[in-house]
Amino acid sequence: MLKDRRLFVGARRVALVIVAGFLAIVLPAHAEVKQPVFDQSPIARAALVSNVATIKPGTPFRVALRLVMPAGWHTYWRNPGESGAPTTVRWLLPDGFTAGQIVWPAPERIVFHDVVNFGYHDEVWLFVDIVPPNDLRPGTDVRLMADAEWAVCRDVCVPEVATLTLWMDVGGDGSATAPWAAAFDAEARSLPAAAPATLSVDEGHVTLDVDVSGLDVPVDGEPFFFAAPFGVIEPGASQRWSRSGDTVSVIAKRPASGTLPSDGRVAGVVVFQTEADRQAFAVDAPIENKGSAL
Amino acid sequence: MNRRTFDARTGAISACLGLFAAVVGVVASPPSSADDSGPAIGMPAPPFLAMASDGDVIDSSAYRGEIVVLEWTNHECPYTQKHYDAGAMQALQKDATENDVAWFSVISSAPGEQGFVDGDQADELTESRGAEPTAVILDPAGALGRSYGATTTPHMFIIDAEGTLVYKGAIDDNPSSRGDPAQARNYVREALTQLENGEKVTTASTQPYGCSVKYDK
Repeated sequence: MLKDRRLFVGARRVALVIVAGFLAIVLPAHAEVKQPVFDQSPIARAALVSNVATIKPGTPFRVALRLVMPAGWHTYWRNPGESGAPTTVRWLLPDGFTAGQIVWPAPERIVFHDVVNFGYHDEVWLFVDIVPPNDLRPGTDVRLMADAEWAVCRDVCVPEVATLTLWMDVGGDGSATAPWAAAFDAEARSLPAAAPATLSVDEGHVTLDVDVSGLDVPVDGEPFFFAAPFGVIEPGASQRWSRSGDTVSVIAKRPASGTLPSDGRVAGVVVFQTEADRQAFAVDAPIENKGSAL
Repeated sequence: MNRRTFDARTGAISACLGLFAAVVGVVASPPSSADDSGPAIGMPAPPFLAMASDGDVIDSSAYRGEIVVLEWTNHECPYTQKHYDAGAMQALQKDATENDVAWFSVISSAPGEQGFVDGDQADELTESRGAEPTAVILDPAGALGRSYGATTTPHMFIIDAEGTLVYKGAIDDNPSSRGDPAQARNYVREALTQLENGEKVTTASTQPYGCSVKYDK
């Protein structure tokens, strides 16, 4: 038991710092703690990056929490599915700065034994928009800090924690690119674009109707609807779909004792998968028949 | 809280997993698959016969008339450890069992998987952690876990005195390995309080978080 407790303490104390300019390999702060083989934390490497090198006062810019996972491991989407936990970021920003919510890339289904999860493998960039204040003085620098936590799992799960730091200079027009801007921009371009959609509900299923007119949807792409709120779809259930004109309908099983968001909208991602291609679209679908179905 | 068992302890049963699998199982519950998240709130909870760590067989029907809590656990899972290292799970077990609630900690880790223990190891864990469940159920074949749709550790279920499932989901509202469990909103404590006051459980289904249950592959 003692060994297990040490393991847990070790995982919790992975308090780490990354200095701007390096996609550094993260080192555990308490390397003296003996750990079993599956818990050589950190398992995922983490870094905070931006695509711009300098900040222009008052002009929003985008940063990313980049997580790199060893083969076989995964981290989780905002709805982790049947187990796991979503990655979270708490910002510690200078006065006047504000940070938005995480902008999530399209997840994938990850199945381990009988348990179905929504998440990412290999690498994921979680984007956040930052708004700096107008009164920053050019020539100074600012420190952005993020207290990040994620669960990284394969057959076992390890919660990891990192305090990440990104130093940025104030000045210029905010367009100077950072060394990793190309990779950053490529990841940002692969974020799901918005697609108009509505949701209808019956006792056992939800049907997402996506208007694909004007969208680059592969004709033979098989859609899967990842609903962001808990309780809307059964993560492990297969889904059915049909296409009529410009409307693709995805029918997903509702879980027993499922719930629906009280604001009457269901956000999520619909992914069209072919053998060669994968196109993802973000939806924020109003529930059309909320009153009658429930 | 006395245990209700339908069979005397026999060394032969506790020693032999094969026989265990044949004798102990889930009674009359529908087959479960990845398509199925388990029983619905407000419906009869799946009945079960299950093996306790001391070799007793636990018959769920013997607990009709009492509130039953099922806690899926894995002592090597950090999310479970958070609640035991803080003493929060033990405190909740103690409060529940002192109020005549039957509390079963269930281990569905398959042999060779993380969290798998035999009966002696399970009892040692109970003692070393100061845990106070009514019993620890060994479910290495995963039949009980699958019948309830248990996917995480911890994953919590509450069955009322009529045998109806009235809560399933997370232990609390902090899906993190950090934070003081005493500061979180504990859904199980909330539900048990409502049941003891003769009220309806208002938050009956929440998203469980933590490690996946280590079922056999």
